[in-house]
Amino acid sequence: MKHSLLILAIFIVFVLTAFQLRSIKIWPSYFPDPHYSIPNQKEDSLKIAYGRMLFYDPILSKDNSISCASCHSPYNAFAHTDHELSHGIGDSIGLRNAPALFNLAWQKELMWDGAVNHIDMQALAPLESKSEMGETLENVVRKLNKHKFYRSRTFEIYGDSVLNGAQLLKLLSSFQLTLQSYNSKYDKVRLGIEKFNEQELNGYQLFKTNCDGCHTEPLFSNYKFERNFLPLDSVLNDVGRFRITQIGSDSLKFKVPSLRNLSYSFPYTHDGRFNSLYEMINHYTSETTNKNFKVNDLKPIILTENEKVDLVSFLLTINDKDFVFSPKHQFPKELLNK
Amino acid sequence: MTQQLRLAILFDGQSAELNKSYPLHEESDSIKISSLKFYLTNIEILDKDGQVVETCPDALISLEDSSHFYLCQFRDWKASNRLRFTLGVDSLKNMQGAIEGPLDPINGMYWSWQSGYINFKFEASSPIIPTKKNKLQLHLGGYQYPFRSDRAIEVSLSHKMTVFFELRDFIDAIDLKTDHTEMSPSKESVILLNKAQKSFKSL
Repeated sequence: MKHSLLILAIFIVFVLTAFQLRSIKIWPSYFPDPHYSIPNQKEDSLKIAYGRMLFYDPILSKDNSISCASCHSPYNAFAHTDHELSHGIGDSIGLRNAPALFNLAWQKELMWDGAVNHIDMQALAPLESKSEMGETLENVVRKLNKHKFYRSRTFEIYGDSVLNGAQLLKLLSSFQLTLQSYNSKYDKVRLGIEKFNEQELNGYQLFKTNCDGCHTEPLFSNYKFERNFLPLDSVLNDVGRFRITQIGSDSLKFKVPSLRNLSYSFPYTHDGRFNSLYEMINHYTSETTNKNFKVNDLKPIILTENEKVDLVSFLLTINDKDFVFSPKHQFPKELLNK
Repeated sequence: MTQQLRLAILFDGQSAELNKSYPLHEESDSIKISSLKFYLTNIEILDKDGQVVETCPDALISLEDSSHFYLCQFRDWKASNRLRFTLGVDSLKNMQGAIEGPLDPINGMYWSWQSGYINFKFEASSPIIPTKKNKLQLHLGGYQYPFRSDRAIEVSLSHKMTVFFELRDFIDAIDLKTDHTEMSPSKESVILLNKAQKSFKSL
């Protein structure tokens, strides 16, 4: 009897531990540990829901016309398809292409130039940029604290109906940290559920030989700052990482974007200058870029036309349709009753 | 017996005031201060052996609110010998994400286009400043090498338990004709913060 009880106790501890681990670690086993702790869908559900409402509410902009989702649409993997540069209040145009938002928990520094050192602080940049939302944190908090809809939600979470700036920023990051994308065909192949076809497999080999150094699996970015060898746009005059570090070698370096969800997130690059994957691949395989690779001790990328097709075929396997069309990330209906 | 630790902002030894004309020494002109804000963080009271006997909460000092500030209260004041604090916000707190209270970005002492606290903000006007409307705007900060500009300060404490920031010392240390506009982490910002650091004293 004693023996049976002991076995039962060990079994219960094992099940509870396994369950606990599963409830905390929700990303695939082949993913590295995230840089930020990801909010718990159950315990933090009110904060995530509040952050989602804020993300979709144009109240965050000066004239109440632009929300975060205006430039980060869920149907574009939270990028802005067909728009080279971000749009702001009064038809103003920003400096850079609105990046796709997913797997942010694995990105220590945010923005194309790494200007933002913590995900909590990221929202401040578009919020207070004159060519984006044109607001101040102080005024947004004032507007929210006047609003009965938000006051009751603030009270529900904090036991006080007055929101402060830090809480607002953390609510937005809570929601954005839940934007996780790892349900593509590639992921299913990694889990042994599906298989690549011959063309995809060939594309995968080409990818590993030529692209994986910067667009490292499984996130498909090393999230470092690298040169893309695109000529400086003389109108935008965007020097990238140099603006932040003032270090000469950082000139024209930009954060390596993830290649997940490319079908939904065009145009590509920091200034949205390429509309198609073929334009992008042609840039990296061009004679000019290969000369730049050589000067910088990088391996040239030489692909035949057929190989380019195979590479694209593989890249399409890292589209995550489930993520892009997931209702839990979309416009929250509660806002309609605000 | 409890004692209060205080900070006072002075101009020529008197309580400093916003929008009051103060004469400049070597010119026949004057200067009018429109804003002075800075962070005091990691505030610690030390005994004669250098051991920490009290810690105080971080504070955002603004001349708009007052020229005299209560920093904290502590019990064993006789043991207190020296005061140690940081002018500005250290890199650890800069990397921490959103913080409530005095360090809340809502207080206007945080850059939005790039991460980082403004450690020290000083705005003034004087006819000798060669800018539009003769305005001086110093927003000094930076938490990363080579522009790290938070400054550790240690002063001895007398029974008055008050630390002073003497604005005259700071203004005399800068060249108003050239040091009038700083809005981002830079080499100049570091030099100006060093000058602000030297303007703290205790009597």
